[in-house]
Amino acid sequence: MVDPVVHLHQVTKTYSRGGTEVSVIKDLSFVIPAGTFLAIMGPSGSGKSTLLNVIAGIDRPTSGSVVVAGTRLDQLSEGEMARWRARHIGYVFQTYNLIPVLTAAENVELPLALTHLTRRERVDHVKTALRLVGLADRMDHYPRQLSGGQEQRVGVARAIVSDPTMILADEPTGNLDRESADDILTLLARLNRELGKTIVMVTHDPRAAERAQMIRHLEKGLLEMPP
Amino acid sequence: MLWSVYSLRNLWARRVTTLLTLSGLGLVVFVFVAILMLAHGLERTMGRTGDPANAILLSKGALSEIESSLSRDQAGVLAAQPDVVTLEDHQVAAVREIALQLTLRKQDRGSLASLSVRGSSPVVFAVRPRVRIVHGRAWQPGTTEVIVGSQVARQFPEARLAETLRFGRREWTVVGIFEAEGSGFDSEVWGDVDQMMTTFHRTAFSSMTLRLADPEMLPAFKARLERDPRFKVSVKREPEYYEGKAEGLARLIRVTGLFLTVVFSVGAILGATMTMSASVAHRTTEIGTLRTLGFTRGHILQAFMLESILLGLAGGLLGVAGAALLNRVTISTVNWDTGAELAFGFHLTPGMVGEGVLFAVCMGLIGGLVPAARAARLDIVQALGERTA
Repeated sequence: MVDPVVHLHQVTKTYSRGGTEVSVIKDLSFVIPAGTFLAIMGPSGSGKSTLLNVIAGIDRPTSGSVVVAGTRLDQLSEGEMARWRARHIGYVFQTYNLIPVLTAAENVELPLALTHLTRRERVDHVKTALRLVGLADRMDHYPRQLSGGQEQRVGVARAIVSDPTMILADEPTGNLDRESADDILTLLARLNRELGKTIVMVTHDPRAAERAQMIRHLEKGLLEMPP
Repeated sequence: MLWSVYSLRNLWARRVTTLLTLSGLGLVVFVFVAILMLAHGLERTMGRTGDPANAILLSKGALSEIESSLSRDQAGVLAAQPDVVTLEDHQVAAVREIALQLTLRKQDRGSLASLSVRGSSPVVFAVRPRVRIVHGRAWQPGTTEVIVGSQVARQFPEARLAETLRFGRREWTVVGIFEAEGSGFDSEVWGDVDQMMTTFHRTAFSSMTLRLADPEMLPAFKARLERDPRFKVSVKREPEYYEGKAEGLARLIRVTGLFLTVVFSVGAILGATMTMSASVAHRTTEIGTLRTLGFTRGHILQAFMLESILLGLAGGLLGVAGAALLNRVTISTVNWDTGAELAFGFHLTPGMVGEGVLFAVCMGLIGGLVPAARAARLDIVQALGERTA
């Protein structure tokens, strides 16, 4: 049995809306083995993005324990959590979220600004990551000069450049045409297959989910376990 | 490095707002530095008036030459002090003078202005060697000839070479123009002391200026003379006396200027705050993204503070550059301490450049503090605008 990289135990997440407590995740317990490409599916409001945010350490559970990459996240301080994210998480956003005033290379370099790498090492890492996503010739382009598919590939390069423990993708193909979406999914599958990266992808697109090794459905904050 | 690039490009991306904010900051720094330059220019002009080797003697209790009175007898004894330099022609380097005020019409606006007139003697050029005739010649003793300072010649049409000045019901011919290295003497008219005393029915001198053989001995010289009951005089080093004559005006310029600066700076700081607040509001998702990548609240605070500091720095440089254009520009106004017209220039020093830029950086820093803190406090999930379900 491969060691789990994510271990959730009785995780609950509750929001207060207009004075009413709304449970988004209810008593959720599950593990994700290292090296898995997992797709989490579910309708809008099912809690899948919240679940991804809890695993990414950008949101805290109301109760329960979250252990990711050997660290108990719910006990970390804000600063420790930020440093932990920098080290372990590569995040791919639905809307790419590139910094508009930075070039593709500079966007990819951003996570490396938090490391102790030298300038030369950073440049090498950036080139490697951009080559891996097929954008070595677009290094100096600004996001506005790239197509949606290319922007998302830069987003993926940014997520992998610091060699994080896992990649979390929130609807990574949600804003893309079918062809670009296929390219991104192929890229994610390749990162999982060839580099052994653990990938957790949230999607509501069944065709995207099919590319993952494992699919889980989230319904009203409860995870539907396989039979 | 990447942070600086990020901050600079963000400022450039919103260049219209950035330029407006820069103009506000720049204007405040311009006023601030211009005031400092003006006050410094005034003090510099007065500080250069006179020679550090000279002692000026006034009657005890008199604050200025106009109020002072030294009798001929007193003056004779004072000039014979052993500390005074003896010139090659065996004359002592001591000049007895009277100070008067004269009203003349200025060239530019045709307005009337008060001017300092000094009755002196030719030995004055030995006592004040930095004063030199640049056009014409010195006055002849016993005549109604006068020489005028370069600023006077520039501003008063009737004070040009060969023109005639009318005062004390007599006509005085301008026979020379002198320069005194941009000092207050440049705003004076000099002529024969005896002629002027006769004209204005004076029997006593206003002051005496003595050139000391050893300028270091001034404190001892001062102590001895001020203690001597025969004289009843006060002794000062000449530049210190003239510097004191501009204290009131310099203080007025500083106080008015700094008041204006403070009022303007509040506006500029608010401008910087609004610019940075708009920037934070516009970049909420960006902040959420950076936080997701692992940047801490401290990093976000730093990034926005750096941006507002850069804004302040650029505004400061703009303001100082504008103020530098005023360098050496000369203005003429009434010196409140003497009531006479005085010409002096804006004068920029490296210290003022530093103070101006530092002031602007502080304005940027204060203006950016609240928006930067707000940016740092943003909740990641809300900043990303993520669905919470």
